[in-house]
Amino acid sequence: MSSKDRSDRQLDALLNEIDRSLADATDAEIAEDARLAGVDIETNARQLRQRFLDRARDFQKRKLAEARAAYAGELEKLQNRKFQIPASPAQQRALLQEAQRAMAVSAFRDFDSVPDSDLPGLIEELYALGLLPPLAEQE
Amino acid sequence: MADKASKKVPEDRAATAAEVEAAIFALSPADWYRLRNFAERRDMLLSEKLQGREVLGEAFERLLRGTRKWDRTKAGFMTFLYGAMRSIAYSWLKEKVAPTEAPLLASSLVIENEEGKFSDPVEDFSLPAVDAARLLVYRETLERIDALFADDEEIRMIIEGFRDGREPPAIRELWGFSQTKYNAIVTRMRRNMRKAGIVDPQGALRHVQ
Repeated sequence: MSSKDRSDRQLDALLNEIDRSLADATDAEIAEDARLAGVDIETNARQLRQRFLDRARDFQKRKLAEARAAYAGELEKLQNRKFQIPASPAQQRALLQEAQRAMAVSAFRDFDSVPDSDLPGLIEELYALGLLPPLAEQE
Repeated sequence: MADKASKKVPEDRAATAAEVEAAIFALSPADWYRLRNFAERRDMLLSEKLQGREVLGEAFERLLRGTRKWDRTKAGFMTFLYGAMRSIAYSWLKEKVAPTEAPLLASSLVIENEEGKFSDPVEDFSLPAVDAARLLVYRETLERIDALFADDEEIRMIIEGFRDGREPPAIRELWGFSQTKYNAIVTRMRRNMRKAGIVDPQGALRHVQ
């Protein structure tokens, strides 16, 4: 079947040309089109603009609410995280040495200079960064 | 599913929600009228409003969801919306194609017309096949257009050109119309079709809901 025999193609070509003429028409010509069609061009614009602005704002609100819920969830997860800290400073240093090996660039030459009181916090930070084996983590 | 248009646009060039909102504010009343007209013609041909869908709303939805992105460095907002509506209309039309129509050998579709010319199946496949009910809508719309312009010789000449599969420059050349004259005839056709409600078979010159 050639395009000469397909009414869909003939109509499509015709309507594409109407679309082109509408897109190329000046605003004054469009105003005349609307007047002839009995359409109040200002009311039409106001209604459509409001409809799509409402839709855009609803969408933004929904996205914001989703992001807030996701943030709250992450925060709760972080706050509820529990870590298993080895009992003695020697064991804690050994665990930190393990983390150091996992890091491509080591932040510390060794952990001897780190005060004992800072070791648990450092371990927690390394867990949070995912630099310690996940098995040691307890939810 | 994200469409191809969203994958092609890099994130840094895609319009943000705020830019989309600003672009909506910047559209003139004439722009809104253009969009409404464009959308109504597509919705009418696809009978989409019967299913509660319409191309302009869908274009905005996809833009907001990010499944279709507007590359503001490449095209204006109106150009983007026209392209999005065309693409959506095309994809909806494809949805309507019966699956049994697809697996045919192209060579089996070559037919000879009354002038002894063979059809080009590749060309014929560039638009999806449409079902009989839809073809009837198209045929009836063409008949209404023919009847509307029965007494307008110049418009009939242009319509004949399109029905013969000619492009606008070839139609102008065929009938010796200058660009200005041709544009004036198409404008007359556009306004009369609109006035006759041909783009909107529901009959009403209503606002898009």
